[in-house]
Amino acid sequence: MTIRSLLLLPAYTLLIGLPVFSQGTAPSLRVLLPERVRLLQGQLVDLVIEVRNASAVTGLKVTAGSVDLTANFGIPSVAALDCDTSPDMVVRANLQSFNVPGDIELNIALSAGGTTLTDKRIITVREFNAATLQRRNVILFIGDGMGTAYRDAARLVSRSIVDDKGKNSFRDGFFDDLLEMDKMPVSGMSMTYGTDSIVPDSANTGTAWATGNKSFLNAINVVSDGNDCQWRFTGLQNASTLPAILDNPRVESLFQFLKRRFQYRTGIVTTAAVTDATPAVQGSYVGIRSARLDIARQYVENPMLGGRPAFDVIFGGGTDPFTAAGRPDQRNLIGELQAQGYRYVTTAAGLRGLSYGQPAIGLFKGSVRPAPNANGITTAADVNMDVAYDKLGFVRPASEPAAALGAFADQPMLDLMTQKAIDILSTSFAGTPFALMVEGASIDKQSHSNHAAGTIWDTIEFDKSIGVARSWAAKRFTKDTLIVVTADHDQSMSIIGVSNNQDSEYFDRAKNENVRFKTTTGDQNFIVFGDSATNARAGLPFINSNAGTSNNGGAAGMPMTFAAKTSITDPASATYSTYFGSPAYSLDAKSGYPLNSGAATRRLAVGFRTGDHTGSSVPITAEGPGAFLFNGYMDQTDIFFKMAAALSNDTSDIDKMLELMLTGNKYPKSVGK
Amino acid sequence: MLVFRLHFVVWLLATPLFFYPALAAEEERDLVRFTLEEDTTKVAAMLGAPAQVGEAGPHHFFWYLQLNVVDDHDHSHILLFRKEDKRLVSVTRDYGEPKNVDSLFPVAESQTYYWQNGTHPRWPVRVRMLSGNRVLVAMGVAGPGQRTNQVLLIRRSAMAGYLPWLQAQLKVE
Repeated sequence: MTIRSLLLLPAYTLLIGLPVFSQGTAPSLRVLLPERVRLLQGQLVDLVIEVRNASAVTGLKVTAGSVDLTANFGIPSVAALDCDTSPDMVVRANLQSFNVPGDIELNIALSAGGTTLTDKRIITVREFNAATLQRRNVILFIGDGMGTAYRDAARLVSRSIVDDKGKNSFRDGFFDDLLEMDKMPVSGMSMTYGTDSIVPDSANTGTAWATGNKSFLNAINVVSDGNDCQWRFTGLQNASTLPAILDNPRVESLFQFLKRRFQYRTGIVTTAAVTDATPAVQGSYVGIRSARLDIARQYVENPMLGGRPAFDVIFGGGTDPFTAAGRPDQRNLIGELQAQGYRYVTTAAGLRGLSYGQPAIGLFKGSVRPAPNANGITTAADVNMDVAYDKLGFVRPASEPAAALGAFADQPMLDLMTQKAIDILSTSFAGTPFALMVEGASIDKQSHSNHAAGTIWDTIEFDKSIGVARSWAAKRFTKDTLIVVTADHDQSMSIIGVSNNQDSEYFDRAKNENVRFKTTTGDQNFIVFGDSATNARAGLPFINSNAGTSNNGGAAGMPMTFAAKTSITDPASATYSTYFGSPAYSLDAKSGYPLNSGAATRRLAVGFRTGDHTGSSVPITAEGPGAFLFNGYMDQTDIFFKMAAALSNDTSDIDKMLELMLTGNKYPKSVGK
Repeated sequence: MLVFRLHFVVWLLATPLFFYPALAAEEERDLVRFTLEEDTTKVAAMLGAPAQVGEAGPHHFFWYLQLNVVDDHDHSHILLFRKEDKRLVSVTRDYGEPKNVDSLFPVAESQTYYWQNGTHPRWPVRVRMLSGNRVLVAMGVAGPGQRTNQVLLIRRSAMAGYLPWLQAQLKVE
């Protein structure tokens, strides 16, 4: 193999001869926009036209209503669509927008192989008028995986506190005080289905609320195209398929839209790696969420912002893809941001020391030795921050892994990160408004592994960060901040009762039993710990034909109905799925979190049906100007348009109606709200 | 030429040569046992029911299986089938954690090829030709001792569609 032959590879790629399978030979045309595409006035989108079974195209004509867009399209290029070797062409007009509200008919016509081909789409363009822009802030809280059971669990644990006189703050079915997110006045439900699955992931759900359009599993702000076959259906996501991963049609996120057009300051705060899917949808455009090296690059040189950084604040974990050692291209992205005036912190102490105003990046956990992954598109490790339970120094129940903060002992809690992000974003010299996304990431991540304590305490941490934002917004002289709290998708946890598990069995790692089932349809392997009465894991219906390890997040436990037969636990206390009794926790005065230990503790019992997401709808709550828009059942893409509407419209009419509902004695109010 | 050499050095430095435990015997058999003549019925008997099934363009469909690997929507086995006869085209084995796959790539039977695009660092794959016109490809592996997350078993006849750059290099030889 010579260097010269390597140089000729792109040419070889185009000249490969024999077709493997070829579609019908008649040329065909497709514009890569979803059937129900909705955009904001001025929102950027790539218009991409695929022509199959054609080696040349002529006479391209593209119109949007009465506007001729033809001149915006580049020269048609040869493409390899559908992973066959029939001749195909692609014509692109990147980063287009539509400036007149209403339903616009996009018409495409061209000639290929002596045939005239056409396609069209109706594009619904929603008004976003600079003249009516309200200069409002928006803070979006995403509890990753936080379905209704998670909110319920956080409430039942953190609001069932017994005081020193023995009085429980949850009595007779009422709470003295609800969660911060419960107190927000407007509630709705969000349907989270993707284009290719009813059970979505954080990437395509994020694409829905970040761009107003749906997409496929793992997609970050792009829609599908004809060369997805190279990587999407074979799993071959690596350096050689990266060009195909990066060429999908992009739809601009709300954060980029606000920054590009209205100089908004923007920020992301997460307990995951900052290149994880939920933060990634605020500032990058890739076909697969695992392309983390490129997601990090796009944070620093964003394609919608002419190569400027996507954010003014980046707080979270996942240092690796920002380091020279973690990247095959050896770019030091942290240094590049510092050269542009960003401050860089790595600890809670450093974060506390940040003053107002100037942009900042805080990466609080990474690998000790970052390295690229062999696939060439991500790092060897994607390091999330540690969960709240571990940062608080609490002892984990027996079936959950012990804390391992390692060299990263001084990680901030999410409420501190949120407070600092607001402080920085709200104090620009120009007085520009800001848009901030805060994610409680490990609510989902701990649910994948069925770690009940991990996920519940993270939901409580998440709620405390909502409290920080609500408190800040309430103190504003002008009520100019919309706060929206929702989840990207649901997870599999259910509230099943209360357990009288004693500490002696709940924390004892030495007491455990191995349980193995071997069946004709697969094997199951469990270790049952004494805390299984409090945390009933998923079990038998899962198939694992590879002997050795179990195949789902419930690997460490099993339903108590099985465990009770041979369990080390006291059958009398191992009350699986009891309806009886209420939880009782004591408060750790130092941290403000409920303690998960003590003789008087009655723990919430939960169960996990699977170790994965579900297709159930998720709750959404809102507060501030325009909040009333978030009432009722909605599609997840509506969140994007409702936030945009609240920022760009005078919402005083619906705000007054909400105020009327909330004040005075005419209408009933929930206890604790 | 110097640029390419530098990129290769950068790649090697960035992906240190460590020695990792070899694949378990079962993991070895897991991939090469496929003749790629299996149809969906046979594959279901071998692996069980897929976690996801979907269209993969006009000519193919895919099965995803989630055995052992648990991380969001990652899958351990990704299988591509032809629509016309429901027979396998390729099997991608995703290990989750990187593995040393040297036992699947004996030095005498294996060769390293590189993908190259513009200024990007060269990216290696380790290739072994198997009987029955099957090709085994370890992603991101330049030689013995390196580890990978992914190994592909694919029909030679399908490479023009799915790995055209590698097919071109194999044809040149």
